[in-house]
Formats: sequence, C-alpha cells, structure tokens
Amino acid sequence: MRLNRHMFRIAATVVAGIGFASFGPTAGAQNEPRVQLEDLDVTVDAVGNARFVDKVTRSAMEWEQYKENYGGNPSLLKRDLQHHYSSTELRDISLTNDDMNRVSTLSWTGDATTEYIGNGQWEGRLPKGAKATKVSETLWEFTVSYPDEQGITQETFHIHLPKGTRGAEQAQNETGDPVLRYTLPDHTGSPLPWLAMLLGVLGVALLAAGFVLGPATPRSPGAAAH
Amino acid sequence: MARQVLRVSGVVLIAAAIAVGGAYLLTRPPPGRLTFNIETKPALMSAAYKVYGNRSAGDGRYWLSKVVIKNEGGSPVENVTTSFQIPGFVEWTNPRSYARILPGQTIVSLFYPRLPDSVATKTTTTTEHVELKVDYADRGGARHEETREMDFQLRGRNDLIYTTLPESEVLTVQDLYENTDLAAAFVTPDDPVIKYFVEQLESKAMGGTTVGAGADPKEIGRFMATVYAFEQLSGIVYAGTEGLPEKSGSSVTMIQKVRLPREVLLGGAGLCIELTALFASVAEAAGLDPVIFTTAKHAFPGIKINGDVVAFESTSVGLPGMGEKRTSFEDALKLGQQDKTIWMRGGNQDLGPRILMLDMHYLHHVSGIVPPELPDDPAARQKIDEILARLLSSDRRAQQAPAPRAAATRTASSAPGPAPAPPPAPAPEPSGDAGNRYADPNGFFTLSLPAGWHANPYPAARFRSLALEAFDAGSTMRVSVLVFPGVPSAENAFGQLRAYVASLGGQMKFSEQAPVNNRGRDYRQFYGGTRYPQGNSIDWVFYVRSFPQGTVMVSLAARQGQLVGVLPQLRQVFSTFDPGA
Repeated sequence: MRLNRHMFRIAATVVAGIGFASFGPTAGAQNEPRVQLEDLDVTVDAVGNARFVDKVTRSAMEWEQYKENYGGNPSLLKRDLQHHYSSTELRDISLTNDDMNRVSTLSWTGDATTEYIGNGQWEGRLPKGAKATKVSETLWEFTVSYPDEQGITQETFHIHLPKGTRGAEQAQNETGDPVLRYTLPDHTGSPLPWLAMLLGVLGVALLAAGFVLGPATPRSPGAAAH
Repeated sequence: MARQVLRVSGVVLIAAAIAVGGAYLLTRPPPGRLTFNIETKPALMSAAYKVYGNRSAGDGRYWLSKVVIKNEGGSPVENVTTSFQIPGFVEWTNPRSYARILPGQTIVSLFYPRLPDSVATKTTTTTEHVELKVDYADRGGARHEETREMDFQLRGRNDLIYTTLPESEVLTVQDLYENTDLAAAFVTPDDPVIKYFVEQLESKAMGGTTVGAGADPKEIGRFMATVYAFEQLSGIVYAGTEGLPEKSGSSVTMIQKVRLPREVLLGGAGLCIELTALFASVAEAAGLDPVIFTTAKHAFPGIKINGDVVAFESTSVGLPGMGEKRTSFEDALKLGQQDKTIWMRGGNQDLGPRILMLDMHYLHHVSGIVPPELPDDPAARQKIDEILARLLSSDRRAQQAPAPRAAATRTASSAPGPAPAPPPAPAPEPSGDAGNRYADPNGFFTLSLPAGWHANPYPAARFRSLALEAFDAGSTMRVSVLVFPGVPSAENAFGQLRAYVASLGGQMKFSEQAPVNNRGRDYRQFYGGTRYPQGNSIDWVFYVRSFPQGTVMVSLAARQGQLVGVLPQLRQVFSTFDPGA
C-alpha cells in the first residue's frame, strides 16, 4: 500500500511553477506558511487492489497555481503518480475540478497496493512516520505532514480494508518501513474435494468392516440339520 | 444383519464420494493463468549507476524493468518467483517470492540493478539486455518457467539524459527535462580529487576558514571568490556548447555530454552545466548548501545562505580564446543575481524557459541521487598543488600592489548575500610548467612531466624519430614525442610511423579532427588507435605540427578503452609542450 506523498513530490517537481515564495526574505516575511489539507480515501479489495480518492481544497491563490500547473495538461498528474507509485500498477485515473469551490478530486486504482505474504496475511506499505489508528476492524486512519517550499501539507488517510478482515495491526517490514498488516481468509479453495475424499474413506472403511468384522448372522443348529 | 448394514452404508458413502468428486470436477474453476506486462527503460546513465540500484531513490522511480504479473485464471497460482539479470554486469538476482497469486490479483516486480563500480569508467554507449525469469507452480504442482529479454542502452559516464519520455508524451519544454534530477549525479562532493582540492584551497589559499559552518556570508563569499580565482588562474574557460538532441529508441531523449567536475577542474574548459556542477561540487564538499538553477538553455549555481539563495554565474570565466574578457568575481555575482531574477520570472529568450531548481542536499541525501564512486588520482592532486602554488604567489603580488583593485569593486557589489573578499588577480594564460621539466638531449623540445612519471629518451634504436616515451608507472598513461627532421608534412611522418608499427605487427587507424592551439601554436589533431594481434592495443590522440625544418608529433595514449578518462591529465602534460623554434 504505497500511500505516499505524491502531492508533495509533485509540488517539489514543479517548484519552478508555483511562485518560489520561499526565496527572498521579503516573501518569506510577509506570508505565513500555508497549511494545505488533503483527504485521501483508500479502499482496498480482497485481492490487494485499491481505489484511491484524493480530495484537495485550495485557497484562491493555490487554485490559480494549481490550474496553471496542471490545468492545460492534467495528464502530468498521471505521470507524477506513476513516478511515485512505482510499485503499483495504476489504472482508471480521473480528475474532476470543482472550480466554484476550488476542490479537485483525483482518483485512481492501484493494483498490487497490498501484497499477499502467505497464510492469509496481507501487507501494505505506509508512508514513513505514519502512526495509524484503528477506528474499526476494517477502518484505519492517520495523518502525515510534509514540508514543501510554501508551507506544510497535511494529508489525512482513511484506509478501508476488505470485509472479513481481522487482526489488522501496524508493523514494520524487513527494511524497517511501516506497514499495515491484516488477515483475510482465503476462500478460493473449494471444500468439495475434501468432502469427496472424506466420504470415500468412510465408505471404504465401512465396506471393509462389513466384510472383515465378525461372521455374518449365525445359523441355528436346527436349520443345519435340514 | 449388522454386516449387511455396514456393507450397504459403505457402498452408499463411496457412491456419494464419487458424486461429490464428479460435481467438483464439473464445477471447478479453470486453472490459474498468468499474464505479463513488462516495461524497460530505454537507457540508463552510467554516472547514475548507484541511483538505479537504490529502490528508495526518487521514491522508487529509477527502476530499470517493471513486470506486472496478473492471474487472469480462476484458481490461485502458487510459489511464484521473479529474478533478473544483465549479462556481463549483474548476475541473476535473488528470486523475489510470492507465496500465492489469487485469481484477479496483480503483483508488481521491480528491478533495481546493482551495477558494478566499474560502470563509472564506461565512456561509450552500448546496447545491453535485461533478462527476466518467472517461475511458478500450476494446480497440479508442476513447475513452469517463463523468460523474457529486453534491450536497453547503457550510456557512457559523461552522458546526461534529460528525458526518457516517449515522443507521444512530450508536450511542454519541461517535458524535455523531466529526468533532470539525475544531473545531481554529476555533482561529486565526495570525489577524492575534489575533496583534496577543497582541503588545499581552505588551508593554503584561504589560510583556514569557517566556511563549513555555513552561517557567515562574508566567509562564504571569500570561499566562492577563491574558488573563482582558482578557476581563472588554472585557465578554466567556458566552452559554450549546448547538448545535442538525440533520439534513443522510441523516446525523444535530450542527451548532453557532461564531464565530471574533476575532469573540468583539470581539463581547462567546461559547458555551463559542467562549470555549474564543478562549483556545486566544491561548495558541497566545503559543507555549503548549493543549488543548481536550470533553464532550457542554461544552468548556473547558487548557495543557500540564511534562507536566501545567492546565485553565481559560473560561465563568467569567459571565452578568452574568442576575445571575450574575463569577468571579475563581483560581476559574476551580479550576473548570477540577474539570472536568478529572470529565472524566478519564468525565464526569457536568452536563458530559455525556466525548468527546475535542483537542491543538491535534498537530492543527494533525501532523494538518493548520488554520484558515482571515483578513485583517487595522484596526478590530479599534483596539478592542484601546482596551480595553488601559483595562486598563492600571485596573491602575494596582489597584496604588495599599491592599489588593491578588488577593494573598490567589492563596494560596488549589490549582491544581497555575501560580501566577497578580493579575489587574487587572475593569471593571463594557463600554463602547467611547474612539474619536472624535461629537455630533449638534441634540443628539439621541452615539456613538464608529473611526479612519478618516467622519461625514456630515444627508446627505439631502429626508429630514431621516437624522441621520448614518457609514462606513468601507476597507470597506462603514456606521452610520446616524435621528431621527423626534414619531413615536410603530417602525412609523410605518419607514413614512417605506420611502417615502424607494421614492423612490430601492429596496425594504426585514425581520423583527423579539428585543429587545436597549444601555447600559441596550431596543431593538427588525430584520434585513433594502434592494434596489436597479441594484445597491448592502445588508443591515442596525436597532435602534429610541421615546421620548415620538419614535423613534430605528440601522442597522448592509454590502453584501449581507457583514454577518455585520463585524457584531461594527458592534455595537461601536452599543455606544457614547447617545440622551441
């Protein structure tokens, strides 16, 4: 679950295009560092794919900068996403802009967002520094902050795990990165072969018992005289 | 009766088992079926070989191959492993294991090749291929193996790839520079030569400094001025050539030949990006926080100081060979500030559209865009010592002069950051005569050899035109001087040389390049090599000058494939060559 800071990186990549406010003591002194709030909903399905919906509300100035950077070519967002979610396969990327309320909604599906690690266990990577809180068995949330050239971006993640998930916990993988680990029983196997085998074994056992265990109904001595 | 019941029950259960088994066979899902989608980058930069081996670099974006495997069948596929290799460079990687791929599940396997350090010496582009092996078990437990092969270019260490986007993806000028972060691989603060240079500069030229603390703008200015003075004194000039767009596969790839900072430091000329990378390397090695501003046509460095960035025009060392005057340090600072202002406004016609500001500390220490591993070079250290010795002597002369020129220009500086100390007066022309001077016994020429070199005068009794064979015992570098009295042209001299080489079983191949000027004299320039069937083949550059009295040739040579890396040092030796009259 590579839920990383794509917006921060995008901002860093196009730092040239967003006002350069940090340079020069004048600009730095006049403007309070802005805090940009983002909400990212991540809905994971039973095979580790996830649907991401990233909703960002911007100030008037930020909206102008955003439109300047991406307005004419929103496919740039796709390229940036692909760079920063290398370990997933992206599809169904879409962007809607609500100009009246200065809200952009970027959504995409990331295949292989979480990975099956065996014994019914799955694992998804979290951003560095994430401390996820359990809201319910299938809902986890956390907020991470990223400094950028203009201030701070605070991104709140809402992770919806598949139905039937149990035992979810935040852990560390072998490289020390934070991960969200959960158990989802594997229902892909059919019980029919096991049932057939059980019935067959029982049948053979009973049949064998019918031939082997003890004599058939004993004959009476009188009948033997005839 | 009980036995009868047992028998009948057994038969019924067996019949039920057969029925259930049959039902399973009729309704069971189809087997697992894997599909593969493989993507491979069209080219890798040798200078950034460490970056490609780091799965964390650039948030993981610098993979070589990406394999997307999807199970499009109806049953799980068990025990899937993926492995990669690049024959000749990287052996089969430890298999990456996936216990099970469920129906509809996708896995992504990325290949971050750990290329060997020797790639850093690669000077040419080759086509290599990456091999992928996928191993998995089917429903019956039988193992299957799939292999694939994909080609890619491994560019030479001096190639900077600005973009690898497919042509169809390019929309804006920024798209042509989407890979520019990797320019940070050409900033080499940990290069032993650069480190040595900074240490010597700080201790000998500056008499000690607190520049590494980074808080004192005046001290930073003094450091920058000293670096600039060194560049001017050592004869470093601007070579205003731009990168040439080159197509690579289906990608539009803007590729530029960029020498490493140590090559520029000792080689005498640099493009804007090279001079900028040199300045940034030196600054970072000194503990400063450099940045590089890039536009579509230009690059210039800056230093972060107390929340501001002081820009600097590193190409102000000028084009003296084309009649351009050298610019003072103060003016270079002013020009840098002007460039920065233009950059912040989005660029202009001269500089081109703004592209990026590369923050070296962020790229090196957070993004993982690190430079290549470079070996130490004693010859380079010696050259640095020589130039510093001259820098110090001219500094003393400047101090003894009645009216310090820079004292006036410092007050004229309007740069908001550092107030630089007066730079030492630059020397009028480059020279490297401070080594061990060798004089030909017959008085035909003189030249200086670096310490540790051996001179072997007239080594071939059968070929007396070979007047000197000088070589470095620690490498394959060799400088030869051939004198042909009475031979009127390069062609005639080469004819004699060919015959001699042929008598040794060798064969020469070469082509003529643009002429060069050395110490005020024009030389014809030839690139080529001599091949011997038994090995020991060499590559060389010949500089040839014909006089009324004859022809003299100077050969700069190294073992086949090693010349480009050492050519800057060899050219330093050639820069001391004096054929006399």
